[in-house]
Amino acid sequence: MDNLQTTVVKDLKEKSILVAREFNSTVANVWRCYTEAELLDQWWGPAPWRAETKTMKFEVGGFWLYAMVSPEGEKHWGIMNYKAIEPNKSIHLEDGFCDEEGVMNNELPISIGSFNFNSTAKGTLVEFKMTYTTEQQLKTIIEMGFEQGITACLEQLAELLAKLNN
Amino acid sequence: MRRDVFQALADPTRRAILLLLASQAMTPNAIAEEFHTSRQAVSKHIQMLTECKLVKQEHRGREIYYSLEIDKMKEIDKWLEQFKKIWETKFNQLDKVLNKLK
Repeated sequence: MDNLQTTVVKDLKEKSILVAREFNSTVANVWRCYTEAELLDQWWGPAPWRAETKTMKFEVGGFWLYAMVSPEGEKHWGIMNYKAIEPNKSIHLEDGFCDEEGVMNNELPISIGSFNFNSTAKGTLVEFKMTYTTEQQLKTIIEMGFEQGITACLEQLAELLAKLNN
Repeated sequence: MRRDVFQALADPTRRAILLLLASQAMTPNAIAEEFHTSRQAVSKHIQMLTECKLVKQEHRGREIYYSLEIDKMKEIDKWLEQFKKIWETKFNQLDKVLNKLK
């Protein structure tokens, strides 16, 4: 098994977070996993949550509307608006929270993101950079992630494990 | 206005002060000696860091010492660690999807 490290770099001055990871696969296949709904649904939701696509229009001006579904069936909606696409190279997007119809919630943080795909000796390096427009937004994301998202996620996991143990 | 941590960390002088305090507790005068700006400016930075609870004051005799408020700093790193774990989970799932595509 190769040792593929996930690196996370925060830049508070730039108000950005960079997540990088290498994959043992061709750029073409990794690209498919980031751009095809049925493949995204298989990995985008961190277990025990899963992602469920409602609408996918992978084109400039298009969007991916999906729900993060908890083991109990609770849904949190997210949307990615595609701003620029360079096949097998990069995707620029706007990432935010929304309702079931894809109407963005402007009170919650919206990040500007870019995925960059690079061919390496091992396979493919994907860098995902998220930039927030204000420090307050980055702070909110951190607080949400810390107090709700993550805690909720871990609680769900604990419940699930408890059920399995019974 | 309520100060927030990220605003506090946005300034390079304040980040330098935090780095200084990471190794030892210091008096405001000792901190000011490390910088080329005025003591008044440094003291404003310290005040802001204190308001954000990134540093704390401690009275030792007649002197005031400033040191890092470790918990607050840990909060950010702890979150990043959780954030990283979530992405690791997702990427491990992606590895499996990619294996199927081969």
